[in-house]
Amino acid sequence: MNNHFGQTLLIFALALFILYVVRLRTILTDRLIFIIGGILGVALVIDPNTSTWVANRLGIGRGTDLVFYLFIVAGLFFAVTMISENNRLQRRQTRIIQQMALDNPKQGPVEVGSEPAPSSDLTPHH
Amino acid sequence: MSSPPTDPSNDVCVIIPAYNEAGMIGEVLAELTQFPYRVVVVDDGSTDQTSAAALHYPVTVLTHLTNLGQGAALATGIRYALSIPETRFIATFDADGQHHIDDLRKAVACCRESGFDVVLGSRFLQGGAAPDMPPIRRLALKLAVRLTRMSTGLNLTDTHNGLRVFSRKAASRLQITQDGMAHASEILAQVAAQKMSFCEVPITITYTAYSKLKGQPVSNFVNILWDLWIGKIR
Repeated sequence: MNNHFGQTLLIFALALFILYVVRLRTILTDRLIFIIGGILGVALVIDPNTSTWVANRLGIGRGTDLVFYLFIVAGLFFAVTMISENNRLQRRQTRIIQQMALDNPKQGPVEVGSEPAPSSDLTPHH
Repeated sequence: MSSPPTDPSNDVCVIIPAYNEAGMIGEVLAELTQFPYRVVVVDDGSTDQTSAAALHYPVTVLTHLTNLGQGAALATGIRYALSIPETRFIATFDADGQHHIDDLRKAVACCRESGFDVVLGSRFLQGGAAPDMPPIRRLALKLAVRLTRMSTGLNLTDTHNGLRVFSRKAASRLQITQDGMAHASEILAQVAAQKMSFCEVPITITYTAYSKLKGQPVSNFVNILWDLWIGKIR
């Protein structure tokens, strides 16, 4: 197994990660990845030689480097899930505030200077 | 001031998104309400007296409890306009006094007579103007035109102009999901994707000290790109 194989594999993994983030994510798969990532982290702490063994196979060299790369990917994954959650909450907030605005229209006077119309006459025809 | 109203009916709904525009909205509405348009002001969570100032005029005011952004305000206004069965045309118009009523009337007439789905105002088209536009803004807008051309294929001269007119059909097909200023690019992307027919009409944008102060800074360009890309993460 040479370096090219390891590097190709890593680039392929990165492309897969981007594809996953952009197209394939679901809440369930996100959570599974978190759980698997956690278990992997514990395993690497218990047996540090494993990371070196895998790193050698991938042509990365040191196990520390492999863990560092995985840490970067994990950080990106965490950022993406947080941004996604933030976007979801923002969309929900927008819908609520828009509906409240639509449910409570206020009407100015029919002509400039006269009294405003009662707001109860204004609910649009949904 | 424009000539007396000549538009045939109030099947036109003008949406004015407004955030902290108490200082100018009265002036804009005083002129606009002389025409037989149904005017809807969407107060986007203003902390000043925007709603109160608007309610001196015969307009409908929809109020967002908190500031969401211009895209969300337009989406609210369009939903309201579509809930009115008489609405045939929906126009968007700025609250800061940059736009001229004559240009709005011209755009509405163009949409009505031409049958185009969308009519877009352009300050860069022959006959349009934007005196006193800061050079850096001109540069940013020209760059935005290039980027939009590359991403949507639309051959436009002005991509970030708040004066637009949509037919009812076109407006009902729009899905504005960008709450902030990225809605302008989003709308154009949908015009292209849904193959809506469109044209541009030359308009004049008047940059005043007030509008320059109120308008988005050029640095917001980065935020727009960020919103467009990051906003896609579901």
